[in-house]
Amino acid sequence: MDLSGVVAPLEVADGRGYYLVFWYDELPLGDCYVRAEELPMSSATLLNLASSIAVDAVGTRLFGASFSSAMPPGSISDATAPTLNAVEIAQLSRPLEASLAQAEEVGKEQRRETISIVICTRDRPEYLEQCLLSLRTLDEKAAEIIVVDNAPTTDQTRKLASGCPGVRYVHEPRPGLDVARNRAVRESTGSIVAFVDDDVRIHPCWLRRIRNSFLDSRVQAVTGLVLPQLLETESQILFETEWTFNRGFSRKVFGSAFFASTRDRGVPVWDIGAGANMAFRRSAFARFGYFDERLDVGAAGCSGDSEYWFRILAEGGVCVYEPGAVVFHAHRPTMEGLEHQLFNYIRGHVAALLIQHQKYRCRGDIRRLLITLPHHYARMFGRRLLGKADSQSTNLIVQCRGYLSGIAFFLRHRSIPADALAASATQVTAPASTHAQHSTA
Amino acid sequence: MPSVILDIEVTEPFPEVILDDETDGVAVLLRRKRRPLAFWMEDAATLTNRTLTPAYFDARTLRHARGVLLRDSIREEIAPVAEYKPFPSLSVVICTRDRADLLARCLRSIQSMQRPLSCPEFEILVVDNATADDSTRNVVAEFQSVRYVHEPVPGLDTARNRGLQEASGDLVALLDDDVVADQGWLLGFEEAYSENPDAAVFTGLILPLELSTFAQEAFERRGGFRLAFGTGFEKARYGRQRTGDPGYPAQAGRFGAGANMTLNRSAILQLGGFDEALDTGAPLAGGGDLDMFYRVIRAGLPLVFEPRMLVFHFHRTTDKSLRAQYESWGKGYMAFVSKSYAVDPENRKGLRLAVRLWISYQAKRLIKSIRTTDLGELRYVSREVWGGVVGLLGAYNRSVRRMERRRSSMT
Repeated sequence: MDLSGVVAPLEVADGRGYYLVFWYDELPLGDCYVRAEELPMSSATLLNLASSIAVDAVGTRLFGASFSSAMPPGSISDATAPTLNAVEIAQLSRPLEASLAQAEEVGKEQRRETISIVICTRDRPEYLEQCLLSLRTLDEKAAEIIVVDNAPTTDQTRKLASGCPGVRYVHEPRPGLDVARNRAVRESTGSIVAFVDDDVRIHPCWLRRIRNSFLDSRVQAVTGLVLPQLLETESQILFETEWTFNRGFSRKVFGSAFFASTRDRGVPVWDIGAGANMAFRRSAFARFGYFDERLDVGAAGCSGDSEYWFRILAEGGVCVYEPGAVVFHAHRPTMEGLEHQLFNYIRGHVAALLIQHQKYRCRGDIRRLLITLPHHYARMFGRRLLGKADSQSTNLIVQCRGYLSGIAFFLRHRSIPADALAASATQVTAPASTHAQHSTA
Repeated sequence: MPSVILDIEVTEPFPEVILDDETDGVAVLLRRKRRPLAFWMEDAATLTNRTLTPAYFDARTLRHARGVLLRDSIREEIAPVAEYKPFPSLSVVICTRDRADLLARCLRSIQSMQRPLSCPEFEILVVDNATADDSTRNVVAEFQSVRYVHEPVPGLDTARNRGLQEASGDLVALLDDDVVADQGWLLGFEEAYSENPDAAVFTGLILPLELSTFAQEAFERRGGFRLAFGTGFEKARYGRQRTGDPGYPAQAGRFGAGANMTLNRSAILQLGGFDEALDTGAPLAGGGDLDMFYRVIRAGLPLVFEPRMLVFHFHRTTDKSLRAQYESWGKGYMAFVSKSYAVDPENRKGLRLAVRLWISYQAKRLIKSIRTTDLGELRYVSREVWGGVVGLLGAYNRSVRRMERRRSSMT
């Protein structure tokens, strides 16, 4: 629903509700569910609702993280954010216009970063085709588009990619999403490498917003908003309401303060974004290493992305969540698809906690693994026994299996791939060689 | 004991306010372009300085109202042209009984309300309920174009029903005689009506008129009439169901209060008007508004809360009368619940849940007051709980029989 135009009332829709996303022109500001029983809803009510919902997104964009009380701990404001005072807020006349201008304006003075867009895929040409089509609508062109075909069983992806002008096809025979991503990094030439999943469609402003977010040279990684393409089936709704890739509509800056204030309880790196929509400075890979190939689809299941953000934060880098960079994700339409996905999430998440601990020895990761998660599952189990089934516990057994499987996976894959460590950490784990360097120096 | 109440407009420069030695606290109503945004109370003892500087107001505004402040300017941006539908005829009805001086203040505030451009003339009607003298009649005579009606059967809901019958407007605003309407009340109503022409009930914000005594401060500090759910500064539109809101729509203090409610006359008459066995005065002096809101919601009619429809209420001045008020709240609530339990069997589960939530809420407050040895609080809570117990034990049925006797003795 675009608030810069005329907002039409919501009519009754044969017993169904609405999922609304409020935009101002091309800037997303917030979302909400309108249930069937609340329909019809007048424009005036919608506008009142939208004004309340947009407050956090607008406030944090104009006044920085300190505006919102719902930001992650240790969030920092951009250097340009003004100090908060009430008079300034009271004098704002067109806050939405100002927010949009702010999201765009940065670009004008932007150093010309070149961007490589990377899509890793495997035997899903029908999704990939949609994704590639959406790339044509981008209002700024990328330096290159790379499709990494990961251990394919057919040549459909090759045919599709070679039929698209401006798309480079790369074949990676070793299975694993992070294997494919690492291959893409090595193949790419842009100063920024932006990854999207093959099952997303991309918003026209996406590239520009990603580029703008790298203006600050401390920023090593940028993530964006992932909205659902469809909420038709039970599993799609369950995924969106209980799990979701959506990390909100407020811009967030994650730095060492966020890491320091959460490390004892397990840094919630998954809050930074989703692998379906993320970008990195290419120079980051020299500093922080490559993706850990033990994680993600084809290996542990997922969390290769968040483990990487963990490394960036642990090494003092900055990650930015920019909700203005939007992709639309095709949620799994069936319950089996969802269960499989959940299993992989939990498995990958647990493996990532162990891998993070292996690399950085933060007690918080172990605490989360051995106390927080088991406690969470025990509580859900208890609620199930009491007959209070809630939607998150629907796949409880699957989640517990994923948990155990994640631990087992880690025990089988304990050796750290040589390229999945930050440069500084390589020195620590290889004391003999550093020592030798020092002594020769 | 007194607190000063400050009415601060954020679009104007913040003032500097010096508190005199008598003043023990401040209460601030913050507005943006006259729309209420936030309300807060503060002990003078906790302030570092008895001079409230612009920096103080800035810091507090940031703390309490930065979100709503931005919300209002966003709304102004996306819904700028306020072309309101002119509302149909309105009657303002004030039910009163032997409180001529309060009534005069109330009437003056209604007559000096700011009129919207499209505002048709509206009628003002005073229902004098079972009066002992002609003081009310004399006061009304001092005002031009205020109609006077006498209702001999005592009971607030009886008087309200009489007002509904006598009123000529399609919409009827029922205000208590102990409120003063804000200048912007009518503008707020115009906006609320324009946004929700289908609503059967409009309720509004109720803030303190003065905080001069200990009891008045205690009442407001405990939440006053501000909505028990949410902040009370957000517009709201309530329908028959609300997901994730246990006990809805039978919670106390969910929708607003009878001191400030505006009704769609024909819709309310179709529902049978107010229940005259509630709000009868002692011994059952409450529940009529809760019962009306509940029936409206259960009938599937929209109920709207509009913070701009603001009135200031003259709170009870003595601790004794305040405790009596809490008792009547407990009693009125439970009388309403037990009545609804009998007449609305479909929603028994919801009513039981609402009662359970009420009990656990009161129990928490009771335990907290004991743990912090807050004797005053303990007395308020226990009076409300006591009222609840009496209300549950047949207060409603006794009241029905009492009203029958009252009416038959009148005829």
